[in-house]
Amino acid sequence: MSSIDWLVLLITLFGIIAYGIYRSRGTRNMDDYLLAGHSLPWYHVGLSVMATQASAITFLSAPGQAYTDGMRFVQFYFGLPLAMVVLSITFVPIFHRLKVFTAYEYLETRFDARVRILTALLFLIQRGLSTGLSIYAPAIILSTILGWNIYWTNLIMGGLVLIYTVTGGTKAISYTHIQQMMIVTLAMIIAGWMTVHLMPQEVGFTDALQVAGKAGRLNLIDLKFDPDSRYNVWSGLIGGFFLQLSYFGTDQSQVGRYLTGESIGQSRLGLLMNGLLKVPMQFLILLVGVLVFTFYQYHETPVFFNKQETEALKQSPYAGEYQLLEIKHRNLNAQRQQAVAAIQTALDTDNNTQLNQARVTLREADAAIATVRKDVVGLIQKNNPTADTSDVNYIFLRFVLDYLPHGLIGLLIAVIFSASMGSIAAAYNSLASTTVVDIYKRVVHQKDADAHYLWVSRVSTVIWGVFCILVAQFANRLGSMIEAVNILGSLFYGVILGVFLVAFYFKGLGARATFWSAVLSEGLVVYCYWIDLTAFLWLNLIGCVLVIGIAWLLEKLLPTSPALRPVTKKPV
Amino acid sequence: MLILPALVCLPTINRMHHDTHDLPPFVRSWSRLYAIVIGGLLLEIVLFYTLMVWFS
Repeated sequence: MSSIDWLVLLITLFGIIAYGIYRSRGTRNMDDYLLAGHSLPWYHVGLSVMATQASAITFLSAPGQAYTDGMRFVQFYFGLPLAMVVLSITFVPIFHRLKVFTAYEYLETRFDARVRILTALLFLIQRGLSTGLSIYAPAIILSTILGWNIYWTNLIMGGLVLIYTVTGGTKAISYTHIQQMMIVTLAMIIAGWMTVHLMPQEVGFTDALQVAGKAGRLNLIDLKFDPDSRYNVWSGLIGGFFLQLSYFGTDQSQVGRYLTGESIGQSRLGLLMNGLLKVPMQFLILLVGVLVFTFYQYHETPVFFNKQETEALKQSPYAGEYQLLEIKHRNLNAQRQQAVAAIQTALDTDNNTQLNQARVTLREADAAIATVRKDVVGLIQKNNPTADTSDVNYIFLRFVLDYLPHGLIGLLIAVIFSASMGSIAAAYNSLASTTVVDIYKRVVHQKDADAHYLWVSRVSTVIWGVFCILVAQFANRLGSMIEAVNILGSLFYGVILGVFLVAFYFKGLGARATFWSAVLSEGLVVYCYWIDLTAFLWLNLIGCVLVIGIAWLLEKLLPTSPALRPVTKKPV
Repeated sequence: MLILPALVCLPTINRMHHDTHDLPPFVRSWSRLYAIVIGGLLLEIVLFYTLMVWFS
């Protein structure tokens, strides 16, 4: 990184922090601190919801995933617009009318304190762990670029966000989210444009898509119903719907965002804005990854994208073997470039025979390259058994550093930081609000002045910040982080959603049946994941159906289950 | 499998009311706005499918 990159990065980061602190003014009570005094318009809500979901992981992993696996990951988001509609109709009016601080407060009005606290605890475990991963994601970038110690980098990443989150709470977070989304969108569009610009002169945008399509990277839609396939239309629409409904409807990091809307209508509009924009946004991020893939069809691909690991290999007893593999890889790269050039000529001359031949050569070269990469990974593992053998998260970053102009490098690194800060800040805030409202105020210390709870909220934010940083220190071998976070979410979200669906739609099911059903279902979901029963997205559906089914069964078996309480009652 | 999301959606559709407060000027009701969001998704799926077939 040059001094201009550092300048862009530092200005962006300090700009966000300073703006967050500036917006912290006027935070006087719990309502201001946790829900921005219910004062924000729809576009604030919408952008804040989007910024909370789009963490650094999104911008690091997604382009890398498109590079290795194509664009099929976009199908994961197909359930989101449907979930936004259901949330707008059901969850938003209920939460607004009950004037709750957290989603779990509602569960006490419908069931009892046990269900509320159990659900809040499941949320705290899941969110605390996944926020640790969200800190780790940008930290690996810094450690790779600067050779910093990863543990110190985690500490700096998780700590910087705390400055404005502790002082300003939700209001500061929401205002900085707008700034962050603007930076992120602008930088990703420039990155996509620059990637096409850096390709050979005769290759335009549509040519790049042709090459990506022929290499199978534009696999946007898979209509085949296969429970073992991670991403297809059905897992996206059904599994994704349940995951997104659970995430947006029951995860306080999101509920806390749309409850800041000044009315039910403003919160709804914010969510529907997210429903309209999320899929195109994810498509654009993946498209950048596919363009990077095409770019590397015309340029030499690194044999392994994590430079730290290959540099370590060069200094090891395996240096000779690695050098031979590197030469082999270089030759295969040349073969591949010839095949791509032949595809281009065949397309220009409309020669189908040549096109098919070139396609076969390309696939053969790709397969041979994959074998060489596997051998290199084997060497890396032999040299260092604890090494990170997945380079998916390094692909986009390596491209940015090796090929993009100075200034833009700084801006893209700032994007990763901004996105990370946005989601981490919202997570800290939600962890603190759930801890204070659902645990501390409900179980530990029920009646005190608002100022006391405001103080406890700030202390709780700091404690959760420390916890998440500690989790980040152990998060260094999880493969694609975007998948790791989604897998973690899928283990808990289905059960939490099941509890909320019972609350909304199954009025005959009582507190005791729902509580034990949630406990049993969580155990069963973890077991299903343990025995690798199905692709992880389906765990959301399994968890949700199990909670409803078991609660119904228990209600029949336990006739003395406590009577339902009226929904209008406000919890303590 | 499709019955499951329908189980969630259908009761919620029944709850739609005719509140026009906060609606954007070009939309007459909330249900129409929901239809626009779902229609947008269907359009995206069709566009993605066309893009995939066209370029492969």
